[in-house]
Amino acid sequence: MKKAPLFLSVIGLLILLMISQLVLPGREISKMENRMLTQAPAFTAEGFVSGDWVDQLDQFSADQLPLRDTFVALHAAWQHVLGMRAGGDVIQGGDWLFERSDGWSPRSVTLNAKALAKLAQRTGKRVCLLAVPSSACLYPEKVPAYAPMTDEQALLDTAAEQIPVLPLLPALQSAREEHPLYYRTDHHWSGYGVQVGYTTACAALGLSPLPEEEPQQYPGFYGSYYARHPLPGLPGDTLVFSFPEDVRLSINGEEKEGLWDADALAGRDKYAALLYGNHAVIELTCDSAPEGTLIVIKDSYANALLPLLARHYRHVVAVDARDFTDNIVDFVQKYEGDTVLCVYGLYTLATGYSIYRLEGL
Amino acid sequence: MLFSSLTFLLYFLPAVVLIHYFLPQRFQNVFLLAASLVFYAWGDVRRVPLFAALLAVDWGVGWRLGQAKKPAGHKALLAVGLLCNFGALLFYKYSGFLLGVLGIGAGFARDLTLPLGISFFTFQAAGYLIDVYRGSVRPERSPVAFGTFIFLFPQLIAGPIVRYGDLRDALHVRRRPDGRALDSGMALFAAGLAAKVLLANPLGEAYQAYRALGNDMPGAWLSLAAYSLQIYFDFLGYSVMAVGIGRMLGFTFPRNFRHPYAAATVTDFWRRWHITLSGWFRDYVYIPLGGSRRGTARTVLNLLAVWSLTGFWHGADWTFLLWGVWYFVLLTVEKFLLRDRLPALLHRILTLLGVMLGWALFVSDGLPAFWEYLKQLFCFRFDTSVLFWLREYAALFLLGVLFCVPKAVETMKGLARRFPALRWVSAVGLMLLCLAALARSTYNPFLYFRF
Repeated sequence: MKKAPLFLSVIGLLILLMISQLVLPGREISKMENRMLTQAPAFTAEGFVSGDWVDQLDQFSADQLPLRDTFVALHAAWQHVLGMRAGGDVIQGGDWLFERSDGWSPRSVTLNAKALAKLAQRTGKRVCLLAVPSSACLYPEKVPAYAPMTDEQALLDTAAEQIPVLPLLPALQSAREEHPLYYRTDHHWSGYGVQVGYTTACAALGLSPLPEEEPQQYPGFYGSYYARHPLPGLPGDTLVFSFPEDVRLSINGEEKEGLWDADALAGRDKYAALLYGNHAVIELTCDSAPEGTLIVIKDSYANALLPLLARHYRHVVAVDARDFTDNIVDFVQKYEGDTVLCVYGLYTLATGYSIYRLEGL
Repeated sequence: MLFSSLTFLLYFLPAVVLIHYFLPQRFQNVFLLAASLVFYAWGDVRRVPLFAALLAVDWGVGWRLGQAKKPAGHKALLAVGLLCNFGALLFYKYSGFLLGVLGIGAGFARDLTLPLGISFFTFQAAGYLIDVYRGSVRPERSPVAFGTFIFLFPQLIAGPIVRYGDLRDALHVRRRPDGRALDSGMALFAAGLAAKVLLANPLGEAYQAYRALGNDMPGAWLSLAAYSLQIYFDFLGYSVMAVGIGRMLGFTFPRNFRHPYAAATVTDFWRRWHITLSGWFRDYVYIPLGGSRRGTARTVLNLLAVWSLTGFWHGADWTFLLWGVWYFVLLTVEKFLLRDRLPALLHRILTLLGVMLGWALFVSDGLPAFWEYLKQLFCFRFDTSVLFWLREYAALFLLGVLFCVPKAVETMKGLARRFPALRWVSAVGLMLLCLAALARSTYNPFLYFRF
């Protein structure tokens, strides 16, 4: 065996990985991929016979592979060398990563929009939709030719058949040259994009926009697209947001200190710092604002926008439809505000049924 | 357990190969048998008793068949042995289909899941019994050695189909492969794993991306090309991994593929594709039926029998049966009508086309799906959306085609032999790339669950 350098190297590599996997403490979550990782499953005879234990062990070996992030990046680099630009269902165009949107479903948009219309009808309140398109829709020239993309304008028109849709897309289109309205490595809109969304929402809500405050800037932001396709050498983004100081945040009834999570800002998924990530019910309070309540149904696209809108209302109550389990009609009727603003990424509307599945609709 | 899972790579493979290496001879077979049982039980523990029972029957029948004085009812004994094996195969693999054709008992059949590797297991055992019956090998006396031969994990679930005669000597010596065997075994294993993980898996994604384009003729043909490459590299990868692991354990497994897409004729293709299976059908079905020695009509009949069975072996559905018949037609036309009348290049191209159209049948889930695919392949519609995917997978295709060219592969092998450092770098590099792909990828299918 001594004269088998190749065999010994490969076996050594595998054994080294095995030992580190067994000895090193398991990681709870992958910040890069933004998901929970499988832990070592406890052995049970039943689990072995049914195959569940085996499946979990296979998943554990993959999830807890030592140097996993390095291996994932190596795989992305390999795909890049082969000229592939659609790894991890993200499409690369130069320094930008885009969502592959050919699987988006008009039916899903229709059902969610219909549910919003039903909410308007059952509560007697005005419900309008601020749907944020994806970066590919605003910067099509950066997307590789003939990429599998969906027509987002058509999806917005589909939604508009059911419910008033705020004219966000034209506003974004007229501002797209001035500044990048989206992050290159993340699916969210940038600080500039959020400003456009803010003015659009103000116009619809009859508010006059307040001047922009000095924004916070955090370089080295690698977002969700990057997590799915961590291409080595891709420059990071700078996370930009401007949060007013006189707005207070409480999550599921518990008051937080400040509007963002300083711990998350130090991690990979910096966007999760905004409003401490996504929660079923949050409330923003602004004592200096006049009376009034704004009710919001949201996904994470609203997290950078709500603090700006909060300056105009004493209360902003926001429900994340993906986590909310109570009856939405009863919930909305508890509040006096006459408008329900739905702030959603078009992606979320077109790939899931979170609004449609809300209790009470 | 699959070779391309991290559990296998990180735990099973190093542990088994190293422990086996250092064990004294009397424990080597029993250890390998136990390891193979764990390997098999990993996916399907409930089937182990079935396989153990078959193993006992095969060993007993073989032993009895090999008695020096031929026992009375020699033939009947062989029949019983074959019946047990093919009966199990028939029951688990084909009863659902056959009952469905008859229109009865569909519910009963739906609950039967196919035990992994049963087609390989039973064929290997049946071949052994026939060999012993014919007197071409002496029966294995030790049940442990026999179990090791049949159950040996490298070839248990995806071939190659090994003859007892090929392994007999290795089963009865202290297996201690030298440095050269260990190195070349590991290099082969890394190459096979790369064929599966770095070529076949992404080619499978390419197939799906092109298929998703629907009615687009170039897309449909690209999907067929992608699938043709996927199934080759997948199957090749498993076989080469088996040969590599076998070598690290001190066994020599037969080669299962020899550049099939470089075949000059369809006959030639089947001398290069899944060689151990076509060899099995040749030796145990075609030649006993008389082969080509009993006149044209009988030869055609024999071919029909062999190729229907070959098709049906790959899965219990009309599509597989038709796939076999398709080869019967191609081979008959080639043998009796064309002979050598076609220009060589044209014959080569037609062969490749015939093989690819065969895969369209093979990949389709039922005849209606095949008909849909066929319509797409000849829809004469063109869409620009194929262009993105064409560029996306262009390099992968080139790589795949390159590894189908015998000269290219042989040159690479020659270089690896001449420069050990180059082989070291390639093997370690491929292993790292495979680990990277496995760490992330969710698409890692096992294609032979219907075999």
